[in-house]
Amino acid sequence: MTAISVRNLWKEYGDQIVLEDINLEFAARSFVALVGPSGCGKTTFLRMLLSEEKATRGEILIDGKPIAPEPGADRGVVFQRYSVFPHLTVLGNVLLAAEFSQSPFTARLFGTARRAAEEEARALIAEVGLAGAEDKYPAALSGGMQQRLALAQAIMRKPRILLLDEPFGALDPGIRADIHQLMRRLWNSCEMTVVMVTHDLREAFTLATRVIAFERRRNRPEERERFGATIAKDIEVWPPRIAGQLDLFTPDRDDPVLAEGQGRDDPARRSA
Amino acid sequence: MARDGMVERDRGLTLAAHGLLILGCTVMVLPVYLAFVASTHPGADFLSGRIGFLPGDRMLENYAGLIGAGAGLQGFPPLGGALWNSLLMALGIAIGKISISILSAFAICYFRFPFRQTAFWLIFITLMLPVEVRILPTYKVVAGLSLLNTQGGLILPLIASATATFLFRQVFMTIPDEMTEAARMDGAGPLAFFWHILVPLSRTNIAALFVILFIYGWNQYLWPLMVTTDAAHSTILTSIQRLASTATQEAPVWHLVMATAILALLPPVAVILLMQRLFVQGLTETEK
Repeated sequence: MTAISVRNLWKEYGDQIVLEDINLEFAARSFVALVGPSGCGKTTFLRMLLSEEKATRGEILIDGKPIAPEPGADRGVVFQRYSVFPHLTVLGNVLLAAEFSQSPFTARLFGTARRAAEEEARALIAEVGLAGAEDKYPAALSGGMQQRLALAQAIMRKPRILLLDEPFGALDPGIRADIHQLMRRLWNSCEMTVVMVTHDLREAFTLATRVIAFERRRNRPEERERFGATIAKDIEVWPPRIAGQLDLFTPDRDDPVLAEGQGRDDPARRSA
Repeated sequence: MARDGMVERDRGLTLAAHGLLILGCTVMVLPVYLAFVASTHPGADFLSGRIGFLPGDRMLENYAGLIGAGAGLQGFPPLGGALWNSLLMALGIAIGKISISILSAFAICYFRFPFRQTAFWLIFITLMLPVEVRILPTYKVVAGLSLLNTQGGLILPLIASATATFLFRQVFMTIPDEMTEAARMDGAGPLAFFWHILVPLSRTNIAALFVILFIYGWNQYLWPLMVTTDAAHSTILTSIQRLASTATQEAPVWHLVMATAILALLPPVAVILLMQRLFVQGLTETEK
């Protein structure tokens, strides 16, 4: 269960203010979508959550503790491109995460440890819909399949926070709808909080529990440098979605299945 | 009709291009071929000019004699040793240069330390200092370390390479930041990242560099000439020179000089043939 608190966050590059006065509380297991015009600091904010950038002022707390200064196993990331390694097969890409974490020096596993990791990786590959492609190289995969692979690779290490930087931006609408279902399923089944940057409002409202818009307070060219972006809109999606629980208002086939109750579509099993 | 005209013009152009290419090849290859022909005749034929364009019948004798027994002259050990020395030197230089420069490029590209840019430019400046320029001080250093007449003395002064460092830096800069960050998220430490991501990604560049540096090492002439005075440590190229100077002064063994030259030619050719595909990929491929 991982909550993220952002307090009085400012980010400046030299004279230029990118983000100002950001205060946010993300509940554990929420799915937050960040939207806003290009260049308004969404990705910068995400990179601060990754520890790739440091805040100029303010602090980021994860479960009440200051964020680790280096990226680590607790956070996974998927970018729009280049998240997978071209020299490794699908299986190799997913295994790599396990190998790096379990044997930091050789990055090779042997014997039972390797078999266990491989089994886990194969299960994950099947879950993201890449079964049968284990021995292919990323160059032989379509864009959608590469992003599925990137998701599998990020989730292999069981991150508590998954960060997505326009992960589905380069995909066509059909593929995107498919991968949205996958994303929904992963969010429901894995214990993680998701923060996603996107340009697609429809995508934001389809997936997220909360949509946050960043915008500069003043955006005239002569003022742009001195005014950073801040939170312009903060919308809780209604009806509320809760990870791992069935949405009673608009049940979705990728939501988890209740054992009992209204959403259960086979009443016969209740008595059995 | 216009199409016919184009085909005709193309044909003329093709003929001219092929003619030029054939001429160029002839100019390049003919001397080598003549050297090969000369190396298959008995020594006396070379002097009397009775060689012609066809290989003679003494090929096996000449080559086997050179490699196994030596030229039969005072102070000329069999060439097998010289070939071995050359191979060790070329491999040492190529592998050493690649290892050192890929590591220094890794440091320059991926670590922030004081004077990082200075370090890069210092390395870059050494491009202006090839062996020939620094040969006297380098000789003094090698002599001081008592490395004269050793493999170490042949290899060490040539083992650092600014060109290769620069090349690897350019290769690393084409690797997207996203990939680096994804690797860090996956828990890759610096060494694991280097070994499992960077090295495989620059595989073709390493191969191309290996070809170039192997030939560079194999063709070293001036430095081995200075450092190895003992015939047992001479390389194949200095052997040619020693044999040639004997041929002008003492015995006219020109057919053996030619045979040595052909022998010296073969390993670089073999390396290029074996690694041709990787070599071309490494020099042309930009997509990572």
